[in-house]
Amino acid sequence: MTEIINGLITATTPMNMLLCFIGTFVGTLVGVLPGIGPMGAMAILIPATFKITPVGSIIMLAGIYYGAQYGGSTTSILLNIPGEASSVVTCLDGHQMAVQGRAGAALGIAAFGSLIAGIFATIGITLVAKPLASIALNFGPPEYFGLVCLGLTLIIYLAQKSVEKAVMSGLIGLIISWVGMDNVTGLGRFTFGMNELNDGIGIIIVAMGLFGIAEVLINVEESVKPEFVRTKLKNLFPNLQEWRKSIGPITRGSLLGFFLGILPGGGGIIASFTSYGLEKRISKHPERFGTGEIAGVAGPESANNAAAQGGFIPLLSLGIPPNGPIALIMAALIIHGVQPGPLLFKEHPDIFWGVIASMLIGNLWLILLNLPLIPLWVKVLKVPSWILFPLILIFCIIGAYSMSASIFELKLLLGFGVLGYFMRKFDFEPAPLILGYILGPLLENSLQQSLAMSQGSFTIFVTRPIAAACLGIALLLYLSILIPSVKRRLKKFENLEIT
Amino acid sequence: MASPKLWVLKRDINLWVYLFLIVFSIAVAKGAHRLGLGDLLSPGPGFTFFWTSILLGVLSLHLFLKTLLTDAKKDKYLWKGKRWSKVASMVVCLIIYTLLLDFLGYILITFIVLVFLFRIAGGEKKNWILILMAAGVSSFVTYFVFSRLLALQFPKGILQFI
Repeated sequence: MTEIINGLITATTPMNMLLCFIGTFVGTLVGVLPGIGPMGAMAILIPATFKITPVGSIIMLAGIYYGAQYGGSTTSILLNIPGEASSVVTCLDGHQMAVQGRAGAALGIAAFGSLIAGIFATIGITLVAKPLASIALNFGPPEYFGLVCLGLTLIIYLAQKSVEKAVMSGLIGLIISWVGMDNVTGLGRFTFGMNELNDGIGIIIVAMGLFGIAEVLINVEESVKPEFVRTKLKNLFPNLQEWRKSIGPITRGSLLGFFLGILPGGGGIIASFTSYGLEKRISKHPERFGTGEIAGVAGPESANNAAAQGGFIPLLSLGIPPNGPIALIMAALIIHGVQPGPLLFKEHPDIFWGVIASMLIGNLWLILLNLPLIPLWVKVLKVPSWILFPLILIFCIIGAYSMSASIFELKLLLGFGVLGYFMRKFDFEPAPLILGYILGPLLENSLQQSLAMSQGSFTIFVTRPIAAACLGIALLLYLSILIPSVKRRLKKFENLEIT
Repeated sequence: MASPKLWVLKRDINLWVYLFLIVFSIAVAKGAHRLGLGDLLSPGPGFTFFWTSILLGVLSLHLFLKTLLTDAKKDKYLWKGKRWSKVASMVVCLIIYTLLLDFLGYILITFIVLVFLFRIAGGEKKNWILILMAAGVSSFVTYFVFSRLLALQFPKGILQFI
């Protein structure tokens, strides 16, 4: 209880309250604006956090992440264009509600649902994070190797298109993460004689390139003009009937999202889709989904916010980021000299409890930002893309240059931007690459240490129960994808033979 | 007459991507081998690179063969109906930016590049005066915010006398 109170004291200092507000404001802004996501915004703002405390930095970056979940629903409802990938399903019913003159109800229930889910998730983190961290104190290199393998395996569940391509992205991320000087031998690995690469390739460069520059290039290529729903925004507070229809989906969405968010590879996207599927399945009138059913907004919007916050548990307790945005937050912690993991709550209780407590405050800021300020966001949506996109590019350049005042880093940034563009064109998702990049060093270190412990024997991963369990689950997951695929191929082959 | 498989190679651009990745994997594996794989007791600096690149190569080969052995899809021109020339122009602008940043300094190069980027981005026609004003305001405001308020050091270039 004392720790929670201390966390609240940390989170409610004027500076941290301001940083929380800035984070949630920027998060809502990037959520509202299609074309740049929370990862791009976080990558651009990480250099700006060098002047502030680690706890303030993480509070701000966390605010951007879960703030974007709130903001994404605004464009989904008003424009039928998802501001964020986790708001895609909100387009299905939210936009229909707007077309029917019920935009206010849709926006209101999305915001209130997200608030309730956010508060629920914050309580969940408070109850779960520390006990999990205490268990994780007993983890050694083999357990971490198992966890990282499990995390990397769950990349396949991040895949929205091709599983093979998602895995390949992750593998490329691993390879990029290992570029630089080897810790043990001092040999330069794939540095090609360039001193600038001795310290490896910075996460900010990779993230800003893949998510900042690449997204702008992809958006500039499109020639679609979004159509606004011209409707008066009224009655942002849902009425009793709307609440009655929404409370079930909000509750289910919060629970589902929270647990999905904890899983490596989980996050807002999977949570929102799963919630929509669940609500449609259990509804007495599934045919109404897609025509303006409020449950189709309440459930997914609650789920994506609960998942966004639930994702902090593996980061704070285990030091394993479950998805791309949390991986960036982990990178920010490391840049500030803080090692996330089970010792975080002992060595840096201000960060551990301060970030958790700030989520309560952040969710309250977000209600203020997302309801009364809707007219502001509507105006922002009208900022012409010809102004917005070049400015995003300049911010990316400033962010990269601020790291080390190096033209080489700018060239790398541009290289990753072009890579990210082509990755999207050929359906290779960039999020698994970031996850692979973040987990690569931990994977390599834990493998080397485990093999040293076991005198070169891989049986250590079988004899240690937690490591064995993680690797076993990873294997089952691969098989769950592989077996149906092989069965489909065999069936196709049999059909060909018959014909 | 050209072999049907070669004809497919010309049509499906994904095949070229998978081929590139196969070559990339082989290159990384070779480089990793040169670094030294060590042994299981003491893995060398190339150990993880080697096995990861092998896995990447196997997956790339799998996709290459899978695409080759399925029916050739209709030509899917990835840039059909897309404003790819704008993307290319933006990339060129950014390359010029990186090459001239130190020489011209932040304010001048940002102004020049923003003029071009504002002109290229978006589909609607824009007034040149509006573009010049937007570029000017943006470069000065970002310079002021980031260098004065956030104490970032930007190159002054040929405007060092200011």
